[in-house]
Amino acid sequence: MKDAPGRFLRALGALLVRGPSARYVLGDLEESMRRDLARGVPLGRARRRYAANAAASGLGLLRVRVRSRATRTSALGVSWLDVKLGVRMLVKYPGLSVVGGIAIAVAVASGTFVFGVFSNFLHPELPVPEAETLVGVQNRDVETFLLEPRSVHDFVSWRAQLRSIEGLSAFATAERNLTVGQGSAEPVAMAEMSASAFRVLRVAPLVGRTLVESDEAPSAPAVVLLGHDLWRSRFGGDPEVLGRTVRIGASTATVVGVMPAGFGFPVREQLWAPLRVNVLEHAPREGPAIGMFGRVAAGFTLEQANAELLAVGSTVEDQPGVADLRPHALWYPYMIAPPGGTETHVVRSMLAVLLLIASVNVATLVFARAATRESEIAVRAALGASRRRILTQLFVEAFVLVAAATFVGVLVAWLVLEWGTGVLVAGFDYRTPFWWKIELGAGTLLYVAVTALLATVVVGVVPALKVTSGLGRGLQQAAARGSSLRFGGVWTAVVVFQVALAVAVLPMVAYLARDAFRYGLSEPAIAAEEFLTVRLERDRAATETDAAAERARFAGVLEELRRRLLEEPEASAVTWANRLPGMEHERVALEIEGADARAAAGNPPSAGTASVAVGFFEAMGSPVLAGREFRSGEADGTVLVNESFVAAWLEGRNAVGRRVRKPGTAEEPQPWWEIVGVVPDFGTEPYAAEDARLFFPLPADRADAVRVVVHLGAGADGFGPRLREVVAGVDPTVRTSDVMPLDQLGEARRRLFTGIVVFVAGLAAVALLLSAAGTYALMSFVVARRRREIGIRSALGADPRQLLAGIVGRAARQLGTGALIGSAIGIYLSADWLATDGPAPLLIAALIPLATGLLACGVPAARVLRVQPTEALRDE
Amino acid sequence: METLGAFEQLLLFAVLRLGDGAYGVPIRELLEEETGRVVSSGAIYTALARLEERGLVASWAGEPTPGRAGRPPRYYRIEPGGARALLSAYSSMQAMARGAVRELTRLAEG
Repeated sequence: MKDAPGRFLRALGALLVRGPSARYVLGDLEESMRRDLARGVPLGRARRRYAANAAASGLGLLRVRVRSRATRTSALGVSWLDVKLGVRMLVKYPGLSVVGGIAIAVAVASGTFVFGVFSNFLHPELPVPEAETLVGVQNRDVETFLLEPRSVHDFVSWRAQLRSIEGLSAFATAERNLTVGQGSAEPVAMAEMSASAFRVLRVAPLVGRTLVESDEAPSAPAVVLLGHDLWRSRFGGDPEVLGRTVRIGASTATVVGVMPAGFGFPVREQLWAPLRVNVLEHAPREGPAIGMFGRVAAGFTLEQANAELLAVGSTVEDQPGVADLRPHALWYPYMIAPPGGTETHVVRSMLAVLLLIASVNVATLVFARAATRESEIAVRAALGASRRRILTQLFVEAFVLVAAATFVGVLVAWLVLEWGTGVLVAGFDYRTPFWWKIELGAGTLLYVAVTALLATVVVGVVPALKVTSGLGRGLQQAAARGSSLRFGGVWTAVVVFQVALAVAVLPMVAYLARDAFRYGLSEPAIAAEEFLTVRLERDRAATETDAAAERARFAGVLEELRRRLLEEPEASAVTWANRLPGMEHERVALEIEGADARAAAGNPPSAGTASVAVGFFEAMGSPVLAGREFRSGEADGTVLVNESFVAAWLEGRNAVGRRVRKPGTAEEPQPWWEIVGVVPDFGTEPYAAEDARLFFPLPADRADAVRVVVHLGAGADGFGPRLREVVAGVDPTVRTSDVMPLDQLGEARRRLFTGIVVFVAGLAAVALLLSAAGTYALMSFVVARRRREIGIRSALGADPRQLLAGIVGRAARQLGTGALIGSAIGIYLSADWLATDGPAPLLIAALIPLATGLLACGVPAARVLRVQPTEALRDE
Repeated sequence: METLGAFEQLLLFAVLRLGDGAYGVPIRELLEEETGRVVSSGAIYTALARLEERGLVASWAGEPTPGRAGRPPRYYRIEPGGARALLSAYSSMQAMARGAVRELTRLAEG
């Protein structure tokens, strides 16, 4: 048919014109074209008109459909219009949006971050086939309940006997010096593993082979397996790496394989060698520290495996003079990173509580806002909106706020995870297992979604239910005469609690912040930047046999190193210690001879401890103030103390000749140490005021690792490469790491500390913000509700000040009570600081909420005084 | 009182004048004939849907007629609300134009 649109045009029309009206429109298009043709319009033009009209009509109908969908309500009774209104409310009440949004965002960010990190403990995902059957086996001393890793006897016995655990394997880990070709020795985490381990793990090598049983024989040639990262970084991913020879410590080994990316068993290792242990060489509870693991055999459960382990028992049992051991099997990841039981759950619950507190506070603000919108709600109800409809709208408004805040919170948590985990790991010196994922996983996002929904319910539904509960009676009244709502007991309690909380945490934050600030400003007593430090560690195999001889050799290395370094023109002094100024010092509780008054007062003496070489303080440029330094060959029985120690525990009296010891029991008293000298404070503490310190002599032949300090004067940085050269010249197997000027030594801890202070201060700022906003909302509410009364009373000649006292007095008293309770808690929490640091930060901390509170109260209160009787009454 | 746009007014007049025969094709033809402009059918369907949503017109499906490939037309009728809105708009226009048409013509032609 020549006058019809034709198949192609009809298909085009059907494609363009959609929806329920399509058939009428397509009919019109068809008819129009026929009429055009009948009027003599050329076919081509008629076709073009058909196509153009089809396109225009399709577009028009689409617009109609989209618009009607936008106003149509979904199954939940929510329409796009509600969402649009919600966004509009955010913009219309920026104060509430910003304060509430920040509070929720901070709570969400903290929760997300902690949840993300803790998931690694609670729900680790080990990248090993059938990871759920992989178990670790541990031995514990039945008396002390401490782990006993020296279990080679049990390993051999269990491997032969256990039926419920298959392929029991052992590993021993150590950081070793790896030398490739003519390069320098660099540390690498290495595991010596039973050959069976790789069969049990079922992870195939990327290149070459894994370890096999024949590699374990003492006479077999030494072989190693490389980790993927190590292969890439030290061998450039060389595909011809098999057969190459590397040096590990002083011995050599041949590369036989490369493991795939992401494999770092048992913890985060990159180099594997066969474990060669001769059990007969070791007495029970002696020998190398090992870890054990295997697979729960098919048909057995973990409980059955544990029962069998207990039945088989430890070989150490019933041996005279050796405490019994009790074996225990547990899921492998839990052995390496224990999930931490209840405290993990407590921390997680606390974060949920944090969000809940934030939500309740925001709910208070939303309620106060909803109260000001009473007449709007009344009008809507009068126009036929059901209570359900109004609830929905208020819920969606809250949802928009919470969703926006949650988005920001998750974004912040993600940034902190990216940046903060490194700081955390470095600050706590924690080696994360290779299966850890520092990312926002599905579980974490689910947690976020659930908590956000909860927050929406608290923020949106609770106030909305309250506001709409009087729909009908109360609201009609409200529309006619002003607010009928009461700022009820619960809401007031929330505001009072918030004020108390803010006031309580501020002193602590003030002391912390002052510590952080003071450290930033403090000048170390020594020129720390003139000293270059290096950590030296003797290379030791996990299964070494004669440690004493190796240590004596290491002592010789240190002496030789000192001699050679002093030959360098730049170096003016060389010394060493186990801990240097700026590092964390192990703290011990102490007893001081003839001075136990303080101990009775509940403040027992304690000090951070370090062991130092002979002449350490002279070399550090801070010679003794009284007495003498350690003498050569001096070992146990003598100690040095610093100025802070004398000030804190001896009230400045003469220290030399006094004796101190660790507190012991009457039956087993600890030996006394005599103080032979007093040394100056270094002034390089990353945390706070200089701490009390106790120094022991460090006999070189007892150390496995020391920190060597070289005094160089200006330009200490540049000496690093030369220092490494000199060390390598003395003994290439000695590992050098952390070469850095002394002033940078505490950097990781300092960053962690600063991070914590910033985080705590942030939380405190949010608490303060919320308390101020809550106070403001409460006061505004009270004033708004009694506006009419204020008008009448001031028209009748009431004294404005009395009026003010009457109107806001009660609320002010409530808030004041909250502040008082908060101060009491705050003083209690910061009592230690108060005792040592004085009250200045406490006073400042008290002033901040006072000023904020006055401002938050004052602005609404001033409104009382400005109420004009005529205006207030005209509103009716 | 509902307010009407200029195109909506023209459309309502067309529906009114076509009476029982007011559906897409004749509406467009009448509009094009009287205004001398090409009218997009997309604009007509959009405006009619909006007017119907506001309750100013009502519509119903007719019987399929020949020449429409078996598809029925959709007829439109002006509702009382629509009639009041159109009357009000027209009256306002007339009131405003009173005594100004001659001058308007002169200016337009001049």
